[in-house]
Amino acid sequence: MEIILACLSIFLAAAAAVCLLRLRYYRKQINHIKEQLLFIEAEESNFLLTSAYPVGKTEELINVLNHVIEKYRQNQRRLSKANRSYRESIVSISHDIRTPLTSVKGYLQLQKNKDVPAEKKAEYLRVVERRLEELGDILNQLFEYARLEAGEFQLNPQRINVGNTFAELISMFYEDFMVKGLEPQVEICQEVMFIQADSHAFSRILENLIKNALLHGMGNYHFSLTSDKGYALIVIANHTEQIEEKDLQQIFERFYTTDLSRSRKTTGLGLAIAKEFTEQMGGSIEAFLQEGCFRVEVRFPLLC
Amino acid sequence: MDYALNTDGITKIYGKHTVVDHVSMHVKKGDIYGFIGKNGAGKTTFMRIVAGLAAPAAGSMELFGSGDLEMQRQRIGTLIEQPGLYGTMTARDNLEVVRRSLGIARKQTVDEMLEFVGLSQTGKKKVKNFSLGMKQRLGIAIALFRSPDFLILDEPINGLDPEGIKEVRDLLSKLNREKQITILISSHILGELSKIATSYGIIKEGVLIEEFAAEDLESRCRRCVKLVVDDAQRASAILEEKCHITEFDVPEEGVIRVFDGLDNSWIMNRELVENGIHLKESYLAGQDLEGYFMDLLGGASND
Amino acid sequence: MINLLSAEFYKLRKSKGIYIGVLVAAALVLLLYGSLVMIDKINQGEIANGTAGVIVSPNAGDAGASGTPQSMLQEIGVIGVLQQMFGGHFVGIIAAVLVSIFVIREHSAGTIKNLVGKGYSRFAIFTAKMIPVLMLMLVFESVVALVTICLGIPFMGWELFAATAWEDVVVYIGLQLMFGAAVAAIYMLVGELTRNLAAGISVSIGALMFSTTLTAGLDLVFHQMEIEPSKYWVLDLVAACPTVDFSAEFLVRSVLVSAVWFMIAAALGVLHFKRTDVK
Repeated sequence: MEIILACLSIFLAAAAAVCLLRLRYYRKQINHIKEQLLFIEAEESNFLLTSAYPVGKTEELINVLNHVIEKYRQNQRRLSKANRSYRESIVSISHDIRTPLTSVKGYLQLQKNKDVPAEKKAEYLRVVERRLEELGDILNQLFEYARLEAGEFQLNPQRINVGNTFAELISMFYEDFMVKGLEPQVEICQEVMFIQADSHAFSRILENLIKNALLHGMGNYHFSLTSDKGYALIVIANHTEQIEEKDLQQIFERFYTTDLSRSRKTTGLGLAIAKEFTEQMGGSIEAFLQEGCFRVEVRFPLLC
Repeated sequence: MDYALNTDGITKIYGKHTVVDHVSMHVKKGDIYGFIGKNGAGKTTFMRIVAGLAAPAAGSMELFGSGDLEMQRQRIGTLIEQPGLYGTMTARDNLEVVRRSLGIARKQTVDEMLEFVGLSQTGKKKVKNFSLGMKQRLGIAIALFRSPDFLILDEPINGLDPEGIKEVRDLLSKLNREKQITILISSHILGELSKIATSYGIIKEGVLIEEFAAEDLESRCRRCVKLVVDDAQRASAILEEKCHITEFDVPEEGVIRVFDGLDNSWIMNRELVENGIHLKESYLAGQDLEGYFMDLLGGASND
Repeated sequence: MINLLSAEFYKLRKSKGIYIGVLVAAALVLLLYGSLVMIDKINQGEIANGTAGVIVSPNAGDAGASGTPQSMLQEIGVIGVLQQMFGGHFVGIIAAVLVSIFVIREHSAGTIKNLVGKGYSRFAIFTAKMIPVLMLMLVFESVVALVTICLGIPFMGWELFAATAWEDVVVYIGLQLMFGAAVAAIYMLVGELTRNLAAGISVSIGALMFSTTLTAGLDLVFHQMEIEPSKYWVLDLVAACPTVDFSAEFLVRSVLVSAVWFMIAAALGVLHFKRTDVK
């Protein structure tokens, strides 16, 4: 009897000791978590919670808390990135608008000068007109992009003959290429191909891509349309020395230009609009760079 | 300005030798700080002091603006000299030891980290059989294990092949860009860092002789006019006599570099030609980065 | 602290060296029993003197000259073999290697850098290393003792084995474990001071082999003053530990000496680790 009692009391004492120890660990662990949370709250840091006394489910709690903290940080990062890009957008827009505006002002001032002969004045006016047109283009582009991004653009998908549209657009710009002295190589597949797209939007895609090539390309123009595994594949390629591998990821971002001084008349919206349109109509667009040859590939699923 | 690291007169003496001599370094938050000096200039010792591995003989420092170094050092990831690895264990086991010792509750972190540094395929291979690059990557994994705010890397690209160097460089700039991790990275070759560093500190014989931002680097690489002539001695005399030019040197036979009066280089050309010097070439040149640093570090002559 | 311990025990579990150490010790026990059996056989004239390099001096067997030749095994018993293993420093040497490897590789592999300056005090890091080292030592010594006892059955036969004075064996092993803890602390101190594997192992083994000679010399020097330093040096006690008739004086002295040396070694180790830069 005494032996049983002795065993029991030893067992109880041991159990009590274990319980007390665990309680102590719990208290310490919770204090540890609290201290670290205070630190995380106070500092801008990548710091995540650690465990000091792994008891019970506290480690799971830490994992959950860390997950929440990481999510919060990701959101913050995204927000600050968006903020930055918004600020940059404003800067580029004002830059894009200020440049032609300044030149318009300048010409108008010259215009006021009485010593300037009449034919010169007429020329100045023509320049002013051209600048204002550019300005209008920029604003239109901006407006189009803003609406597009907000999803306000109504697209009316219909059957489009890709070959016809492509050929039409190339011929529209043919003159410009000839002026530059660089005849593009055109290759359009004989087979008649149809896709489902909004005709205005589709034209804008091709127009923007060709314009981009015309503006930034340095010869070796190559336009082609082929059918590729159930897709209509449009390739627009040109030689370039401005674009580097690192630019490829960002080339479809709005206001992205490789031209640091932004001296050319470019808003960096053209490719962004092309991408938005393409993706909203179920196509895909990708850019490649191979040995100085910049290539944009657009794919739309073929209609049978 | 917010500093990740701010030291004041850190000094370390081994015997009679002062290895680190009153170094006051300022690493801004978000910087990639290139710490440049020859081998044995005291870079490693200084980094060991910052990491808490060695105690300074004099001086004080702050981490993230706080003097509570013990606490703030938890935000630092370090890779100083060789990575600390157990050769008889696998990469996984090595990281498991780190996970346990740091008290990171999530067990999957080990596999994610292995994946991140591209060592998830090493399986049962023991670390002692790893290549230098693999060990280095495992070292980086350990440094990154507790998602640090500040990385201290001592010659992390030493002994890597060009591809490995590029990989590490890309990784570092990605960490800096996406997680705003401040990086203090040492090297004895400037070229390795010039692509990513945003600030520089130059250490020579234990003394931090210069500290400047990357934007200032360009202006510090002095512009000069290079003249290639048939008779450098006579030409230099003419330059001094007629053009009152005092700052020039002759880096090699028949070449003169002129550092002042650059705006009037045509005068130099005219004087030289008029005085019968055969002027073969004359052009404006900027000294390259490497040359600039060689100058700062005392040139090749001391090697 | 718990995190550090968890990591240390994980490392301990992953170290193959420890299993090898246990195997080597077991082989040594086997060898010891084997040679004892062989000596018996030579004494009884069953095999020629000098077989397999075992030479028995002509006087060796005189102990039992009165009649039936006394068996060597019977004479020394399990506790005698234990005394050979522990008092003869076989266990100590292997333990020196194991502890040195476990402690010093942190410095030679540079892994200590992964702990220092990570929010743990140096005291915590050293203590977290000390606890598994003590465990390692105690477990290792217990395993060797257990192997020695178990192997006694096949070599001595059940009857002889059952006649062992078990109280003495238990006390002896208990004393050796206590000394072992102090010795482990000394090995760890040596490892901390040298931080070099070759130097650490040789200094530890050197201390094991030659420190008793030194204390014997000191005994002679202090002979006039009636002080015997060897009585207060833990490694002397390991060798001098009796197997029967434990005197109360010896037991008390053992406890005190082990405790004091353990404290001294641990304190010096912590102090050195706190003060010295980590490579």
